[in-house]
Amino acid sequence: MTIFLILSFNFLLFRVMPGDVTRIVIPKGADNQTIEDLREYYGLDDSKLSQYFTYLENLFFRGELGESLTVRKGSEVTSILGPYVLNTLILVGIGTIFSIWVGVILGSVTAWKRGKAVDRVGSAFFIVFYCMPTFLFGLVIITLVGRYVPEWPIKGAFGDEYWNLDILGKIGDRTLHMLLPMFALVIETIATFSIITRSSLIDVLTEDYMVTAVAKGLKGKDVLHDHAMPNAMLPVVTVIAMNVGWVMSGSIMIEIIFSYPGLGYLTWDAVWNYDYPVMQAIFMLEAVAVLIANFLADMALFKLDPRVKM
Amino acid sequence: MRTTQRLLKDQVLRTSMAVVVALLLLLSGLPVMFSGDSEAASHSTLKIGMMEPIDSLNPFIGVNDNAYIFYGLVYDYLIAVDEDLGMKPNLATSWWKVPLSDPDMQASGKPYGSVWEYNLTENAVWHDGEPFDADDVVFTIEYQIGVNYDSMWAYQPYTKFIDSVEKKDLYKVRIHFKDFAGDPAPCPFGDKLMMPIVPEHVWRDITPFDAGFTYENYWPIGTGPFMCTENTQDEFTAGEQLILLMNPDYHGAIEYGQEVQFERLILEFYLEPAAMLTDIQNGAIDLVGLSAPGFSSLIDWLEDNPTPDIGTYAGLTCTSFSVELITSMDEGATGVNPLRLDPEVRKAIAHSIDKEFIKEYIYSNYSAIGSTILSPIYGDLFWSPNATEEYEYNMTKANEILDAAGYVWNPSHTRRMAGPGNAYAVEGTPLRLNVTTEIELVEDRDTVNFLTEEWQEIGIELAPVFVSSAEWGNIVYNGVYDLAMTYWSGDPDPNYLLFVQSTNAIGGWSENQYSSPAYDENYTKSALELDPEVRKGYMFNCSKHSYMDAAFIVTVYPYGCYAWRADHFSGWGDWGAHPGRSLSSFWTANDLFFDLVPLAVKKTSLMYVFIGIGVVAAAVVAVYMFMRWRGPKEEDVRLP
Repeated sequence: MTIFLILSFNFLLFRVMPGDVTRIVIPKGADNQTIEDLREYYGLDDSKLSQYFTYLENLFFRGELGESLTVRKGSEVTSILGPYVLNTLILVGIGTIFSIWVGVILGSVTAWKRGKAVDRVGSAFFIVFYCMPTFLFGLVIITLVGRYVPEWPIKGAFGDEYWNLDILGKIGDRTLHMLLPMFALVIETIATFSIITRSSLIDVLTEDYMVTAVAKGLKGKDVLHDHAMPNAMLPVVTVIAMNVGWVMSGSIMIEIIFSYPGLGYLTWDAVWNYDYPVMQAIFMLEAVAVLIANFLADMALFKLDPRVKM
Repeated sequence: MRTTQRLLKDQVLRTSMAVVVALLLLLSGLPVMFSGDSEAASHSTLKIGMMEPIDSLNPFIGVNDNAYIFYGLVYDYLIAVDEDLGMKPNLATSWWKVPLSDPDMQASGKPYGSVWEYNLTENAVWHDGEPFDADDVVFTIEYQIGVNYDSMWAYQPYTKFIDSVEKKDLYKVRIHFKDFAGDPAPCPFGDKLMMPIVPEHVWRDITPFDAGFTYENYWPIGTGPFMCTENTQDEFTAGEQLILLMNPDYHGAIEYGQEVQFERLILEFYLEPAAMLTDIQNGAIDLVGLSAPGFSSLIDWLEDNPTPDIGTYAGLTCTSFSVELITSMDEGATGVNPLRLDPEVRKAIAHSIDKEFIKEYIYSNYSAIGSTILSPIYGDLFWSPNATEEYEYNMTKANEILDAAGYVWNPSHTRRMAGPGNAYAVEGTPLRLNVTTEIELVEDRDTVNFLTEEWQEIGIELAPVFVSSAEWGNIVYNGVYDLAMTYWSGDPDPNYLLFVQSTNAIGGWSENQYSSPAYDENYTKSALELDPEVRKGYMFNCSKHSYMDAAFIVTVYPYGCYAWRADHFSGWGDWGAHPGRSLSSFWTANDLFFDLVPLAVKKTSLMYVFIGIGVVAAAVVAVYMFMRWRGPKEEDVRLP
């Protein structure tokens, strides 16, 4: 039902936006007959209701998302999305997993050693990189790497030889190209998970049952891992769910700075160029991703906290 | 239970460690993975950096500059452009106007110059191995004329004048030209038809409507010096780069000695200029077109780091690239300010544009001051106003014109408004004009912001409307604006650009709905006049009428700014003396690509970086093993 509502809203959203799509397809204008032909081709001369049913029919029964109007004129949206989704999943997906992993570890370390030098240095580190504009950080990386390691690729998701490489070579090529943007992404997002883990863990450590655990003579790491962390993870899981949902939307600034063609850049490009079919498809993907992520978060919370009933 | 959990945590820790180590080892092993690639890496490759991916592989659909460059590499034209912007043979080895003594001309009674004959090469082969002949030329032209004219909009400034095409033999065609009324008429640009010739066997099953609007053309087949591959579709959809291979069967090598001396040409697409600038500095790419600010940064960098390895050029583009401030002349438009139609307002506007400032500060001096749509690249066809005609920058004069036209200041002296008896609007109508501008175009945005400040001095309130390119097209082609910033580029014959301001372009290419009987009369004559000197006179008149009406004010001619790696290739030549060698000369068979010779480049590798990463990986493993060997150190439990 939710997905159906999302799809319907997605359809309506682009029908109420201003502008004549035929004028966008032909940058230098066209005569009235051509415009009429185009309207007929895109089904724009049908009623909105008829367009809506055609949209649902194409989507559910044919798996069609339409043709790009401007970004890749005439190309099937499904064929356009493929490489961009893959690039985003690799960069933002792996980057987010890495951020979560390192962020939670760093957050728990700084909480456990709160007030000590590790905590003060770690917290300052998080705040500095959390506040730093992504594009600035990306440009600094490009400039530094370009100057001191000029052979390292600073653009793109893969190199010129990619299509001629075997599978191992392709993985290696992508890894090489992915490291710089991923570094920028992880540095930016790691702070989110560290800060929330740290504050959540500090809250948990003040609970009475923690004193009980210590009084029972448990070792420090056992207290942390077995008693504190599971409870501290509840708000972290919620934040993780929100972030995982947004993985599909990519990271526009990082993708642009590193000329990494992902979904974030495609969204930006499609919005600027009024490519309704591409926008529709991306927003549908993102909505479904957020929906699935929330569902998984609910499941994880249920697992972590038995008090939560499904 | 606790033991199980403990084991689980240890397992997680070990797994995490293993992931880190695996990642580091993976990186340290990259050179080994690439070992199978050594053959490909030895190819001589020319890499061209570009700021946006091409918008279509279909030459009847794509419109961005990079798309035209791509078409010029893959497809051939009947006639190409040489390094001095003259015409040179391509698919047509020779051409002429069919003389009146020809039996067909005598029988038809058509005027001299209305029928051109082209002898075609017998050596061209399509990239898929099919032979090229006259049928392909006939098909390409018939595909775009007659009932197909509306759908095949891309080359309308040429096809509008083509009545029919006739195959005389397997390698000879005749094109019959017409005037605006459809009657046979001389065509002065029969040797400058800048449209790609496509293979009949590929396109014949594609309807003109699909060809003009939807057909992807994922594997473009041409006869040009470079070929697409089976990967082109993937490369195009990925948007990273397009890799073209040298055409070993290129007909130009046999006929004109034009042989490409490198194996691959890669169009490398960037989304942001910083990485592109860094890559030309590092030698990751060989040739790049830069914006004025980007080029300025590069020149500054070269002053600090002088090197003979990087060559540069900045000059007028072969396409006569110009930037304009246009006025919507659509008298029927609603929701816009009618005062824009007052010629006195437009004259005042023309006097209040400081083109020198725009050139110097907004374009960092990488532009020339503009006057009409035909830039000085057209040589003696470039018209410039004399001292009495020129709208020199003079705010006092602009104020005097507005005073004389009855525009009065409001009580607070912040803005003018229409005075009594204004022929265009009721008294009190404020002189407030919106100016629609594409937000992506930084220089246009800066120009508008500058003018907004400046025009306060003459009492014109300028209201910038910054929109995306798509929205700009929507607004401008529907005529719902007062002023707009735009730009134009054209082909070797001036007819292409002069057409834009003619009444014939309204409803199509015209952006400001400009219509002037005097302009039209001269334009029509120029489009049909064979005598170069007489034609030049008509063109001058067109330029003058357009300039004096001030509905199409050319601010500057931005330079094409390029940089290349002189240590990777020799043969770049002198682009200043021979502007047709620049990247903006995209009408196929650019001499540059035949003169470039790859040089031996000393390639440094990432090996030492990978070795460093390997050392780090080993150190991490060693520390981990040491920690495991030493055993856990218990922390004191310190709760708040």
